[in-house]
Amino acid sequence: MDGNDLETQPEDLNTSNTSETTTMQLLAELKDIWRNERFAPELLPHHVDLVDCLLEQVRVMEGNVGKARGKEPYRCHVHKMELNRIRFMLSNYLRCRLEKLELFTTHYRQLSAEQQEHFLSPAELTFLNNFADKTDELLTNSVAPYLPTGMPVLDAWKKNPARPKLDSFVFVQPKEVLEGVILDAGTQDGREEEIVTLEEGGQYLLRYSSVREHVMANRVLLM
Amino acid sequence: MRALIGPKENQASQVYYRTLWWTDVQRPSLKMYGRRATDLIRGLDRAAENSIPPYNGETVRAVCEEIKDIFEANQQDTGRLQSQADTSSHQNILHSIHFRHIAMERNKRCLVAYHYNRAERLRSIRWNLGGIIPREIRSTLSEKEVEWFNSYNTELTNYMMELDGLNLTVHQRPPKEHFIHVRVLLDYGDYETEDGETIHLKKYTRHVLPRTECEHLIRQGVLEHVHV
Repeated sequence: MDGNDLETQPEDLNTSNTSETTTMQLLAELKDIWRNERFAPELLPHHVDLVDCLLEQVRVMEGNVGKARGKEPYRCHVHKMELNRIRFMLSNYLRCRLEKLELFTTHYRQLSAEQQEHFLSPAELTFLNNFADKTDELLTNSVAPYLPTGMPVLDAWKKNPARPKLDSFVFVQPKEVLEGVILDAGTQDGREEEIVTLEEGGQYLLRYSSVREHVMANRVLLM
Repeated sequence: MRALIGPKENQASQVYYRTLWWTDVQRPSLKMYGRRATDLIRGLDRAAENSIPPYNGETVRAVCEEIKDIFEANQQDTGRLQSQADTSSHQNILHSIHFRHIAMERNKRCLVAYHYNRAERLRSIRWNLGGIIPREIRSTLSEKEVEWFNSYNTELTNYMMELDGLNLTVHQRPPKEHFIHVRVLLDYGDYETEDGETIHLKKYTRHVLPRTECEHLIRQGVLEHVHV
């Protein structure tokens, strides 16, 4: 391994791997998705391809840095630092999704198979199902032996599970002009619906439910 | 009305009252349904945040006992409703059945909440301390909870394997610097770093280590981050 290999490393972060999207673009995309996931009260559609692709890239780059160790320690550390930042973004994103799954287990379990496929990656779905089963088992078996036989323990819990609060407020920054956003749809207190246009790059404080579909389609940034 | 509300004076409740040595008068409120279920929740709530107080199996069983009593009383009353031709007292019986039913539902809800919240705290142990429960915590858990922890551990590991072994429990904080200063808090012994070097972690010594390598040691309380 000579110095030239090290020289090419910064480009590894930029050059394309297989398709026309570069790692840099993928990273920018991950950053948006990650931020939206963090601020949205519910689970957003999964991006399993993006995550897999980035994981792959990180592994390749780590291999490169590992091979070049000892030649230019300082540069290696800078690269490692950058890789750690990417890893942090990835794991924080995935962790955040797991936390939502654990919090709203029953709710996501009750969705239809199509919806589950839309929101959850296959691995997440397996995790959700196992986690839900084990937790139900714990809650039931801890008390069932002392109760009258056949008495359901989790009936009320299942009937009214914890659900994401779609009415909570979020700060929104549209990436493009959004027309026909309906505010206060279906609120109980008798206020009238209002239809507004959101400017590109503007900053708004809105209920999550009114921009929900735009968040799902990645047309706005939450902040 | 109190006779209607009060649970049967069974063995369990007498034991419970006897422990209240500072009151020589039994307060009427103590005889209410749901009292012990509330105690269960309160005990958990009063414990320090994220700590796991010993599993209160005795109270759990007492609450179940109360549910059983209510269930039997309601069955008796339902029987009375069906057998009595005289409908004048039906309204009263219906009311007490309804009342007991609500008390029972509440008790069940408290039981679920108790176990669920304990599981929640157990979960944070997995994330902070890893897949093995420390002995002092293990003694505070019920058998079912240990089972749950082990299966949670397996599921989480499986999930991370699906991600090509990306360990989600590392990188819990945004990395601001690659190396950090740490102080060793206890005699840990030899520790092998990612690049294969072995360092000896002796109490009171200081080291400069890559953050990713010592993050879990910091969470376990072996190292302390020193802000220079």
